Amino acid sequence: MRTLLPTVVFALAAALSAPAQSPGRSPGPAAPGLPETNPYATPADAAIGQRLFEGRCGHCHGQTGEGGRGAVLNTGLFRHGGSDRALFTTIRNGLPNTEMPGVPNLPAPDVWRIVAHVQQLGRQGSPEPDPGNPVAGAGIYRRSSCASCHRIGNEGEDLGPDLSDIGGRRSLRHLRTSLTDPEADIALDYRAVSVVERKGGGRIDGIHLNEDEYSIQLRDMAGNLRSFLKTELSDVAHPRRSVMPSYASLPAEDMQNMVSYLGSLRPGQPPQAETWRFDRLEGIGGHRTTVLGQPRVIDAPVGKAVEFDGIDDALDIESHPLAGAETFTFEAIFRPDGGPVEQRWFHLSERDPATGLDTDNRMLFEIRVAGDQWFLDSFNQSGSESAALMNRAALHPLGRWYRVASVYDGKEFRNYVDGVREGAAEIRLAPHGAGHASVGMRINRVFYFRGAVHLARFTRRALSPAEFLPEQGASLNPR
Amino acid sequence: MPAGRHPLALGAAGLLCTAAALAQPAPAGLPVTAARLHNAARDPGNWLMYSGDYRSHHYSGLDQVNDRNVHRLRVKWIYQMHRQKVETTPIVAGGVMFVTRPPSDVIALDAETGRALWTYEHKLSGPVYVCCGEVNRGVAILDDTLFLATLDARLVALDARSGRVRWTQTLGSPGMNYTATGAPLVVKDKVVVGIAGAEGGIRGFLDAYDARTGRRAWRFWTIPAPGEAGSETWQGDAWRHGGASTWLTGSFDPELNLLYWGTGNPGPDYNGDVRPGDNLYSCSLLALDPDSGTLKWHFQFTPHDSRDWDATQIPVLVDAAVSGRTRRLVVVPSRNGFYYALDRATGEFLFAKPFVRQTWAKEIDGTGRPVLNPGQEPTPEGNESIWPGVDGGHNWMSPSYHPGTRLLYFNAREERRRFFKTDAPEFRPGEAFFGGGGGGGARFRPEESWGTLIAMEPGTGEIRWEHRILTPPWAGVLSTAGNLVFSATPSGNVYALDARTGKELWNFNGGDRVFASPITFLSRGRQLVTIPIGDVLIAFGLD
Repeated sequence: MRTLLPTVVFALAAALSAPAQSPGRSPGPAAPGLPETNPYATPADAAIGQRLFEGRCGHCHGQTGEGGRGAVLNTGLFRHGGSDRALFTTIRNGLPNTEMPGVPNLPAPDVWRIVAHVQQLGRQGSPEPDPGNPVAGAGIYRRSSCASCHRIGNEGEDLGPDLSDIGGRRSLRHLRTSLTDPEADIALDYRAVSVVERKGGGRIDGIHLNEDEYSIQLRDMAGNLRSFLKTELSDVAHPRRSVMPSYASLPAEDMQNMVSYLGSLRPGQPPQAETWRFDRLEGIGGHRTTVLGQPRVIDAPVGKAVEFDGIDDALDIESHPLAGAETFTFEAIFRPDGGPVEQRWFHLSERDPATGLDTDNRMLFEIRVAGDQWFLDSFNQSGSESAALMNRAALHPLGRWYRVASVYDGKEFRNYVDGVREGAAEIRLAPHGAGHASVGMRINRVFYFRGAVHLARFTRRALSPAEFLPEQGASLNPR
Repeated sequence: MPAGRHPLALGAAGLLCTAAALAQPAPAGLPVTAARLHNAARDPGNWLMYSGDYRSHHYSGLDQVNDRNVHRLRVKWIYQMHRQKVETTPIVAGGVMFVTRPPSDVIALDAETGRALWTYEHKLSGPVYVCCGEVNRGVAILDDTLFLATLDARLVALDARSGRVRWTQTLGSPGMNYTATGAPLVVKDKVVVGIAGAEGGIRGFLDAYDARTGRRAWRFWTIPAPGEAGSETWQGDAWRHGGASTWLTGSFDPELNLLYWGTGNPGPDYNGDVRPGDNLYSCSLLALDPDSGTLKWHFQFTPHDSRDWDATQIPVLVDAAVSGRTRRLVVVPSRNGFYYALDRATGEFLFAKPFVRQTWAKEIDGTGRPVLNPGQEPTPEGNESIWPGVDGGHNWMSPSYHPGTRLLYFNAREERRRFFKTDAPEFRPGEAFFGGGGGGGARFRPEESWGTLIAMEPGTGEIRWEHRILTPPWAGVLSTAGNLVFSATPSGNVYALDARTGKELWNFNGGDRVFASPITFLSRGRQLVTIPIGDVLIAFGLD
């Protein structure tokens, strides 16, 4: 005879395991002899693959790969590997501890045909437009108390799904829907349950963890693990509602920023583009920021910016946003105000993980001041390779706002002012390791900058000038 | 090859019983003659064939364990198989249990202790395509020979005393996707055995072999070749890979000398566009002369099926009044969601009633043919409106008929799935032949599906009572003279109900899903109940 202790209340443990009703699937290794490249990759194969995809995959991934409950497939970025072989393995075996099932019984040629179609979807290369500001979104996340139910990394609670890598698993569209209409698609492991105890008649709401014919287990709204024999309950309901409130009333911009923030949560896969807005002194780009001197936030024609005095004002930001990037575009919008000839105002530096000291590997925006004009110096060093792009003839007036860019496409390092190329050099630059950044000075607190910085963007590919940051409004500068 | 032997001599199994411990006379051991098989229902101390007796009642006349003492049922022993997934129903003769484990092994167990006496480990002859797991559902016995259908489509005869192979026959080529998972049925001097592989594009058949020599006595192709009766229900070459497997065990009426066997889905499963027509004899019940394999009559439950609703379910032979007249019935709770009663002598359709929610048929007309509802076919993007699901309202799990309560007990599955179709597949050895799918279960909330153990009057289709369980079950049902009904749930709970009222009397949490049917028998004169739970076989007895 089975027995179960009467109502048992467990304190919420720090390390909670997945609900017991979710049997994990074993990750399947790639089968020996599996070809690296797709042997069924003709257009006809891809067309068959599309029809196979529609029935099996489209209802989660979207019929055009736009994502939904399943990951976005139309960007060409695949978290579990984008090679033909990796996609075959993912599709054939599924992914453990996710809702992605495998298709072990589908003939291998048909799996390859789905791979052909998925690769075709990926080649659309159409990431969802993300006009939001993830940094602002992080603030809204905090103010909305999301962490009282959700976990990101080591922070937050476990009542709702862990969001640490939600940006890699859900489309922005799906995230937006989840915020505005939480009932639209409730993850099976987070279904609501509501029970009423016979004794006392109290109703207890929570998240369904497990259930059989005789007992039910749930996590109550305070996070406690609870178990009841059904004979102790006068009602067991599985309401079709989410325990998460709707955030549909958030102002549109806040919603956009919140979605942008959630979409940026993809550990192990750095965001393809990261934007730092200098509209504050703390938490630039969402990273820990140390303020040196007394830089100040100003209202400029381009929007808010941080102004540096050229003496001792600077910011040290705990991130090298282009660490690991094989190709990149490093952009900034800034205003040089003159002063000393040599000013090194944006420095990305690699750190030696063993010593914590800066290495020589670095990327810099510098300027040289020549009278009431200036010219750009873009510097990059990786190992023994380095290049300084400095066009002394490309002089620009001081006191105005400029868009500058350094681009590396794997072969050539180029720099631009307002979309106009000023220099280029062929060079082999290996990706940097992790590190930090300084703005307003060289990383070792010399060559201070006089002027202001409005925005920086770091993209992990070589952008064309047409893709550069647009001018802010009609023009950066009043005419 | 026998992997291990035990000094216990099976013929002396009676010696296992000590006179003092006997609560009932010890059941006879080997040989299990054809006459004993004929009278299996009157030998409740043993469990001599897959469904208990030829009528497939899956019932036991034992009453030591009954509605008054079942609450004292305790675990007596556990046999670990370490294999998935276990769908076997053992047979028991004279205190020795013959049980199979995946993929195609046989173990002789001392039924008192659960200790192995010998093990036959079948070495597969090569890779085998299987749709639904490497399963085996059990063996048959005649005299002192066991008959095993193997995953690589062999029929193996084993010495029941040692596990030694007496002969092996090839049923079909695994290279052409033939496989076998069901327990054979011994009828007189023949071993009748079905084939599986409709998901791989086979052309189905039912075979009978001489039990002594292994020589094939007859084969009935379940899909007629061009020119044969029924071939007009196929077009072109579709019949060559048209499915209609026979993967479960049938029933036998010795008086009528008729063998009843269900057939599986047509292939490809979900894309019926390439096989217009009724696709006989898929999704049908066949009545055959067991001596010659001649078809006497057939009844098709789901013409031109496109939802994988095999009709292999175990046909139960009962005599009951229909419209005031006692009829010899064969009854089937079909995977398509309707309960059917046919005259088993003639195949005459008597009535059909839905026993689960179903959306595909407006009704079953007076001839037994479904009147279809529109929009109930698989679609390229997926059709989520179809009830029951791909696993059907009922499936291979054993039903049970209790001659005392005169009720038929069976587990029903209430659910829907997302049916979709893709391009018609080409037949390829080693690969599936689906043309779509019926998955998507995870997309639906668990509360949208459930299970019921139904107690039904077989002559009317009227449901006397229902026992609801949380999720759609895969366990069979056993009823006993102790006024009990045993079954189990996907949650791992084994339970016993009052056979008359459905009141629950006992349960035990076995901790894993159940894909098998309970049986009961005597060991040293004491009644045991066994059921596989997950990958272990558990025996229960009174404390």
